Amino acid sequence: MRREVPVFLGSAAGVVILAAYFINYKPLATLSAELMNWGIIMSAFALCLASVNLVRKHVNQIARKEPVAPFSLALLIVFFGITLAGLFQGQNSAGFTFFYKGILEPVSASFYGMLGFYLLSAAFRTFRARSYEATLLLLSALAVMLGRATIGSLIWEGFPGLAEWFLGTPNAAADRGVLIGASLGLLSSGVRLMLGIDRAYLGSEE
Amino acid sequence: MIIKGREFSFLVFALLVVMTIYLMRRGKQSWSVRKIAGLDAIEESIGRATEMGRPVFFTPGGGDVVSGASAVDTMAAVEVLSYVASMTAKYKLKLTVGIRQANTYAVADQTVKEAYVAAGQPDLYSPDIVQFYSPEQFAYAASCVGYFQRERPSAILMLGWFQAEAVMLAEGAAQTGAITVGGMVKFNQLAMMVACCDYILIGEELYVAGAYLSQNKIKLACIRSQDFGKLAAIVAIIVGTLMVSAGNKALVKLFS
Amino acid sequence: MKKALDIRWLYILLFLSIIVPMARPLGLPLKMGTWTKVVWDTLDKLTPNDVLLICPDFNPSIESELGPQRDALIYHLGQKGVKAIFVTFVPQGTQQTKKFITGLEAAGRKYGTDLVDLGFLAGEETALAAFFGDMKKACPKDARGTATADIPLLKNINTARDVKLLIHFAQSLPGTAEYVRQLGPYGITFVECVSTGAMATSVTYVQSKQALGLIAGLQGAAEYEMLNKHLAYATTAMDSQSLAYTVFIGAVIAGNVIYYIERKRARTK
Repeated sequence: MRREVPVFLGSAAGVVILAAYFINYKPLATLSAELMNWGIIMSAFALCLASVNLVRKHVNQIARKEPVAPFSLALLIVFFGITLAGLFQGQNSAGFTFFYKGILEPVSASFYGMLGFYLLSAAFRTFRARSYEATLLLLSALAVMLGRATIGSLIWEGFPGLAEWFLGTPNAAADRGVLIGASLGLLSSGVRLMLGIDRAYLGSEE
Repeated sequence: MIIKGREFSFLVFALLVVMTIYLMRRGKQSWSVRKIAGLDAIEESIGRATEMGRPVFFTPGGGDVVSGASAVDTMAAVEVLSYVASMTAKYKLKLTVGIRQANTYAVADQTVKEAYVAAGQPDLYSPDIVQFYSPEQFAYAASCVGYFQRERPSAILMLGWFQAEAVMLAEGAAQTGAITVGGMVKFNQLAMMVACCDYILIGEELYVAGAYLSQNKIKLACIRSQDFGKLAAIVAIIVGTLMVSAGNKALVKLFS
Repeated sequence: MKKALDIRWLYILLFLSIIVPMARPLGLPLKMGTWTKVVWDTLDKLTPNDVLLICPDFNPSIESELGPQRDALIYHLGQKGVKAIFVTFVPQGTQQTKKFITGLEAAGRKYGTDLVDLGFLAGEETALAAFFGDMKKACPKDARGTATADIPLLKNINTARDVKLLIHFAQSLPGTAEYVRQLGPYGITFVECVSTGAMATSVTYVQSKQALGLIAGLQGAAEYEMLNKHLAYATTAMDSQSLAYTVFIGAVIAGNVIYYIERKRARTK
């Protein structure tokens, strides 16, 4: 029963939503919409559960005086600060805006900027023309980079058009191939989940 | 009864389900999957972690189990997590699972717990194994890379749904000298993962992971039905291309 | 083995390539792309009675790429005087909505009759499906607490089919694929604003005409500013981006040169 009930509930919900997509029957559509709304509510509860895990982990780190304890303290201060400001003063309040504009925006943007340095390190270390295929890939990557940078059109005015062709033709073709394969995999995985064949979330098979 | 315009897609879906069930019923026959280096490397990396006494890190990426395509990628990664958790329980290794989405946290935590219980090591399970970092993309990436730098895991497994943070994770992992196994279906950052990781699962190799690792006959039969679907898609593309080139758009209208 | 080139020199070069053009703009020429032009032409044909649905599903980390696109669109839509409904499916998107509304109110639009903020809906694709099917049921109140049934702008707007066009800023989930899947049944015109990294997959949907057009990255924002004839941040930042790309290209070439030299040395030994 411990395994069968969750599988049945999951399968039943999946079948109802899928059936509502294909079958023209108003009560089914209403039930499907209701289940999707329940999904939204469950997501909010899952966020609470995950937040408890986050807070517990960092409180433990502070209690055990680990080397990262100061960072855990900073995290908890910001976590509770922005949560309480948003809950009690609203998202338009000065407190919430301070946390958002003063901390979240600049820190997020800074990390996104760091991505450039990681990319540079990866490009320098790994983009090697080790084989014929790698050389082709490298040359097309260089062509797209030159096409997307204004400096490319200074070197040769055909680079932007070439970049658009690479993105619009071979890239789109490969993307569609992967998309078709992935969609079939997605369908098959969905069918396996709905039939209760894949039950990894309930633990091992036997 | 069927909503107008969706008859064909209903037919395709019904055919896939029927084929899956038919092949499952023939489950006594064992279908084989070609060797996938990335999946074999998982066991090798856990073996290396056991020798070195270093932890293992796993992340199913930033996908949510309730959201479209990322749900299936994430569930496929959770299947691999179940296998990894049972291995780390068996070898008494420290496992850390980094999570980005709250829904995925709930599923991953349950999966790890059940795997440890099934492996006969319920005492080794701890709620600290699965750690929710942040739904914020780069906060999650920074947490993972911070973990790599501090704990120096010897095996880093990044399988699931990733976005731009894939570069940060893959390169951050590579810089620590760990064995890195990456896997994703999403096209965008796949190239960076291929460049930076030691082993890689590309596209549907991730979906096959559960079946490959467990060698479950029923799951392998489902993979077989998927292959038939791909064959049908290839035939449809070739026939459709020829028809459109000849000026006939009947197949295009059917699929639309 | 002694490293042929310390990566930190390249980091310094990248840093300088970004900073120097900001202090001293180079004025590098920018060529117009087709995808951005299609978006601008479509939005330019809008009339003050048209109602748009704008979904700013991005957070501050990508402000550098999607922020200039947002600002360019605010300028253009402010000039056209269109009406807009805002809803987001990522938590930080609400702050982006605020920036939109502030910008459009400055251009003379009024909240309630021309603009409405429906806030954030959790649930990603599930929420998308629920929202497009019945907006008032998915959002009984707007972000300011007013019942959506009482908002004048939403009087005749019930499903996605009732809006003229959808503008989606994509960063995370829900992304282009999710919107294409959920908008399919409604058949509405749909425009994507994405980062450079997401461009490769989004182009596929533009090519297959599932999405009308695409504003991609900082370059897309700069192209939009050119079309607006209102040059702003994106245009000035393109110099930095171009030089940074040059450093990347140089790093790739340098890496390959070093690789071949080391390989040759190993063979000689």
